[in-house]
Amino acid sequence: MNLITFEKSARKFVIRAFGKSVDDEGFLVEKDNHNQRIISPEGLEIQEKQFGGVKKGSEIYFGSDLISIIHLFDSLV
Amino acid sequence: MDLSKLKDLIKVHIDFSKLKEIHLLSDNKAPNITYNDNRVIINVDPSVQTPEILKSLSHVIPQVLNEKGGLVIEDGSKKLLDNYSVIYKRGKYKDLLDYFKGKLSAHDLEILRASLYIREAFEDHQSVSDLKNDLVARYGTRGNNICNLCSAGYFETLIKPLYEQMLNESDFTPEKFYARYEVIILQIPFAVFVSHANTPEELVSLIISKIEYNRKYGVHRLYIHGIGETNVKKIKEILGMIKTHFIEEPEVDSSHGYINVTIHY
Repeated sequence: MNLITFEKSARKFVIRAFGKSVDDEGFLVEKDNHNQRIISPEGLEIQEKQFGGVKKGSEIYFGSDLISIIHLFDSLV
Repeated sequence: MDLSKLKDLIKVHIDFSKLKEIHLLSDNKAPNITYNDNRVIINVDPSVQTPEILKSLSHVIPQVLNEKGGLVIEDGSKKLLDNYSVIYKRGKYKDLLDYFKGKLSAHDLEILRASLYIREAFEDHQSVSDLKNDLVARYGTRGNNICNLCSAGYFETLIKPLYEQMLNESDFTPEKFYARYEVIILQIPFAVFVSHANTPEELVSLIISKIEYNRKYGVHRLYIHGIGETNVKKIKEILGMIKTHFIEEPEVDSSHGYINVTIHY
């Protein structure tokens, strides 16, 4: 099995499954250090409402916006 | 991957070798199984599971990334990824992107690529307003303007011909092209782009309505762009037809192959 898909309602559950959390401003952060925000490969901080998922490569967090998904596509082909 | 902990999730026997996907959703139901193209999918609502089941799930989810092609992805993002893949494989705009590689900045090429997808998705009757908002959120007014230029086909009918036209000039440099290109990008909200299809009368009507529209919102200038000798001649003819609207002489930047005009009213 190599695919987990999730509805928006399960975002927080997935984020926690990876040992991450969400800070007061809605950004993904390390669970043990809320001062450390998770960044995408483009160097952008990711808000929970724009969390697209995680891909292989240690752990690469990506956003759900069009540009992030295009980058994801490029990395998968 | 160790899926033994998942056996507690599902009360019916399944062939775990065929299990391809776990789908997390919100339906207040017990976990169930669906089949899609010989793929077994377990559907689970985390909000109604026991702590033990949640612990098993939390253990399994990160492990997926250890598998070949492992991916954890939100439904909307998956749909966008799949849609993008379909349109990309059509290859309709590959030539255009290849043409502009090295001629536009990497950022603008990325915006153009996204804009071409938006254009095709729109033609496929998909909803694109969120996609355009994504572009604007990341690239601001520039993203918006390039997307609008792309939607109107101006990269094919204006910007590419402009490059070809300028390439024929003895003093051509990429910087000169880029300077004109920048002007087009910045001016699109206040510009009229003249094509072969427009008659002079249609253009006059279009320009006057654009003048009136702009004036309503406090904008007192309009830019007119044209490529090719026919359009250059057409625009010069039109300027004579609408000169009563000007408060000063238009600024004209022209060669035999292109023309850019700024009118003030």
